[in-house]
Amino acid sequence: MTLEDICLCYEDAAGERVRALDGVSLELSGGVCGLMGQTGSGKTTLLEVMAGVSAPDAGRVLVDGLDAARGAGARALAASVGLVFQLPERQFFEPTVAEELTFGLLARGMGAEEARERAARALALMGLSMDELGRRSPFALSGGQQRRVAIASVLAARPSLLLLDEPTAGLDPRACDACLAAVRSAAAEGATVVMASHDANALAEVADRVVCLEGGRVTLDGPARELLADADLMRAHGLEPACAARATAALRRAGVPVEGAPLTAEELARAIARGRGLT
Amino acid sequence: MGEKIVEARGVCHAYVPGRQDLRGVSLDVAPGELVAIVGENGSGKTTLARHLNALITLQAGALSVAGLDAADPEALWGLRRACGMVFQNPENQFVSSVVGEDVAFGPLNFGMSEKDARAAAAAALGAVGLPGFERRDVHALSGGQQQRVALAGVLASGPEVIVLDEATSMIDPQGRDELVRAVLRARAERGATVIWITHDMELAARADRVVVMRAGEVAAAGAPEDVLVDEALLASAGLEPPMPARVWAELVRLGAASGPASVTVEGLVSALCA
Repeated sequence: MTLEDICLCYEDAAGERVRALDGVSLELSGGVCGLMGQTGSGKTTLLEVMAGVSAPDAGRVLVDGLDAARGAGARALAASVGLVFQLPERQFFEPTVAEELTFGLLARGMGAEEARERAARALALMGLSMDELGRRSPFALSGGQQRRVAIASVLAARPSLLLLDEPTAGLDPRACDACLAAVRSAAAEGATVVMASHDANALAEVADRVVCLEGGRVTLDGPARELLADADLMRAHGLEPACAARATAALRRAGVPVEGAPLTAEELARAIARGRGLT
Repeated sequence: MGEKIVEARGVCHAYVPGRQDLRGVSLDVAPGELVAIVGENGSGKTTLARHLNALITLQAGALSVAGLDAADPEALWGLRRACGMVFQNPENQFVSSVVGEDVAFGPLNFGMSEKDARAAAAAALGAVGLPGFERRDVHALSGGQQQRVALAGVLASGPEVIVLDEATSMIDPQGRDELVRAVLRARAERGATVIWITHDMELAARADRVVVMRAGEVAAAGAPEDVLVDEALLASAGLEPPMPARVWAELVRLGAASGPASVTVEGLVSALCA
């Protein structure tokens, strides 16, 4: 996907015109791109433009070189994109988990058996079992289970462009790990993943690249490790650094040598140990 | 523990017959204490919290909050006034789209006069750092501001206990920090007891005491530096220690450190500089 100079304005509740996206240009091809920025920076609007849910006022979205606003480009986008909205569990409408998961696949003309198999696999990717949950109402599940079922319903279609809006918000560590594992798995199978998140620790585990939006503009775009490990840079852009990056900055200020750019607890411990002459 | 503002003994609850969503929870909280409750989804955290202000009525066991017996139907309104709750999603808890109306709703319903309720709302908005926001549209506020409006709505009724149920999980880091500061200020200025349900182990590490819930039971309770370093206990509850404790544990494994782990970044820095 290529985004060319995307602009989008909307009217807020007070009737004020707000520029949500202001000249965003991006190239996406494979891997996991973390989309960061404060509330109101344009992350959700950008995902909606990428998914074809919102049309930009200016600029173009290209899919495999075709304009996604019309004709073959629009069909290519519809066939390839999967969007997990914020709080996707609010969109449940089927009486059972199995029906919720297979709805989209059956609507695309897939046979019932293949749809059920795909749905079960997607659910397993999220650490849940169709045998256990398939006949239950999605409305009766715990919050963490609901979120995972909702994400699985998008994964089941195996989108080549997977867009996720704050998928880990409110999840407990186990559900969060399952979600991140599913993101890694989708990327490993060739999908391009864009994950909007405030959680630098989660992005540190899955993202190859990080893009930061501020006031609808791209203000940072680079390798995830380089950006997420730089606590000062993250703070300068109004972002919370990963915990390991904050600890690294605090240790260095206190005179404790820390080598490299650690992003996880294990990496930070090894970097401290190396600084103490241990390998 | 001496004086107790929350005293739970063997509290059990089943949402449907045959299930056990709470299995004999016993817990004491001292006045002014900041208690973090951690545990995976479905472990019973929210079910326990909703007992505290009588959103869930007591099925079995004994519970008193601010000296009010949760088994006494006459105590219902007193319990709801004594214990205010801030929920996960700010937009789900507003009763008016106008900030001042929303914040004054609680005191008015507890029988306060219009004038006193407005004054309480103004004071509460000031306490959460949103003075003069009375005429604003709640839906035009940021997530952090919305949660502070929700907190003001709780404070306006003068509760002795404030329960925050995953109140920071749907807002950005800036909003979370704003809410944490507002809660800590309310605690310091009003002497409120705070019970904070969270998945955020860094936040839990700042509490006076951490309660770990597992499958409807209290699996452990104690100081953060004791509870949040116990990898086996936390793993059994679907949790992991905060990052500084994991760094320390790895350093110990590597032979680069020894002694008790720290649960905060500040503690980790101090330990490594010692």
